[in-house]
Amino acid sequence: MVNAAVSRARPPATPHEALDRATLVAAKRGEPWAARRLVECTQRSVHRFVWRMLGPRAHRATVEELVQDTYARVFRALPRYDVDGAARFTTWMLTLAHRTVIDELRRKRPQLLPLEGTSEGTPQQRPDRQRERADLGERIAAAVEQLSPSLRAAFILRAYHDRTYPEIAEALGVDLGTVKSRIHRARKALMAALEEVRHDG
Amino acid sequence: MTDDHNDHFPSELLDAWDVAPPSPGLTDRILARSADALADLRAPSFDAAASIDPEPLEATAMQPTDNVRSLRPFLTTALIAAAAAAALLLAFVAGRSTTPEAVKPAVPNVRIEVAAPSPTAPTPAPIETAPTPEAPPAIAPEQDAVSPSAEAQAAAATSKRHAARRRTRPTSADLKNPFADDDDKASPFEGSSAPVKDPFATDKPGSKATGVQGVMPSVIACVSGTGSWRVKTEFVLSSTGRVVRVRQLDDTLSSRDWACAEKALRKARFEATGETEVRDMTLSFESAVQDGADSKPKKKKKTSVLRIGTESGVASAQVRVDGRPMGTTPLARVQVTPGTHRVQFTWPDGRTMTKVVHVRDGAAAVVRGG
Repeated sequence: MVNAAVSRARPPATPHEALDRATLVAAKRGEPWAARRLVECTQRSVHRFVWRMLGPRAHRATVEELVQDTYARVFRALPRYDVDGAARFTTWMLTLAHRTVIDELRRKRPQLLPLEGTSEGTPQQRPDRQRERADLGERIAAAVEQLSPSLRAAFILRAYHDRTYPEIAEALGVDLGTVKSRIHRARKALMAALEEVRHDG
Repeated sequence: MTDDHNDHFPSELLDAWDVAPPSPGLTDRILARSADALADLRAPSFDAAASIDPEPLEATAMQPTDNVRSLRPFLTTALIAAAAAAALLLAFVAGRSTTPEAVKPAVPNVRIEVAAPSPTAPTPAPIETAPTPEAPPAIAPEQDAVSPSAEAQAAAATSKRHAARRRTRPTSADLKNPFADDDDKASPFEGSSAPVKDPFATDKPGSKATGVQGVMPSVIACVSGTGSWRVKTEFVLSSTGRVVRVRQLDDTLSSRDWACAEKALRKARFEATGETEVRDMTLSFESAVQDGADSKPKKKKKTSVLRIGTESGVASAQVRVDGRPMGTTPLARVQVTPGTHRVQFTWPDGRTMTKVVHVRDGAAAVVRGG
């Protein structure tokens, strides 16, 4: 496996993920169609974030329960969100998702359940490659699990949700320097934990 | 420093960590869970209403549903205010009987009247005495026996009012005092050589008393307190002085007060049954309370301490001290009375161990199981 420097530029928003201002304003008024569109546009991102934050303990039922809790928070807090403000809506929503996950992690230790079928969008791969990929994913999940929740959140937001450092700082409610430090420490810890995998690759 | 600085991480590793896609019905479940929040979003708030630009009346005419929604905050406030008022009223009503003055009256006297029902009365009716604001003076038997005093008349009038309220209980005016001299009948306690038969010993009190010669009517004692300690209690004594029926007409007494009042009455029953001329007596409620307190065995104070644990390397165990569960070891401080105690350890595998320990007053003892 190549240890290459990867510049993870923000991908362009797909039409499915586009959430225009009119929809947000309508959602703030409680329009049902806008609420549905808001959920449809953002739930994959929230779902992935919650799943990865829970790590190997993630279970479909648990994750979807937390996603529902997150959206209940979102709609309760929606009147306070400034549509014309500087914060992106998805970043603001990931803030609430992060708080929901942290609350869950503090409340109880999730059950240790194996990862379910997480092969998404790779049906054309050979079974042996799929198995290899799944094993690798489990090792990464286990390594991320070893991080503290604060490091984990910063790393996931950066690596999987393409948030900028200021956005991560806003989402986690910490300083920009803290975000840089956390991401650096998280990356260092993961590289050490995955040293064997990297050399094997 | 740009965001991508030090952003070196193998993308293959990142991409290998896939997650399962959301369930198809997740959107609907999310919206169902958030239904309340969405409804709140649709309901206009005060701020939202204030920020609405003024428009012509015909343009802002609200539909009935909108009207109800806009009134929701007012209705909520009104409901909260009504609930608070009701709570205050209840607290006031409850406070009348639960204030310290009510528990311990300023004039702690118990007045016990002893009377007997008419032998012809099918059911013995209670004698009710109105609570007086101050301690009632001990009524001389002669005064009460010769003619009804003004106080007795007032008491009878009060009793009538109470009975009118309840509509089920006869008034004291319906009763004839068998001890009164103006009554032609002799006192039932005088010269009763016939075999005594307690009408209250049966399930139908008084039913056998009617027309039965020589049946001794039982004594009814009505205990009333003074001041705010308003007791209306019927004690039905048999001719032997035994309390065969107790009926509390006022539930404002605590069980302890009730026990003390009963104890005071029992102390007096001997006089009541043995001395027919004694019809009115005043007992100190405080002394009755003291008697009641003295009659209870005093609990030993838990002035000693047990420190209970298990030996090193031994698993924690459930602990019982004198059969009472105390928890799981280590137990740093278990307050016990001075003396000998039995400490029982029970481990999860079912193994048990019992140790008997003696601890002196004020001392601490360490008990280890295992």
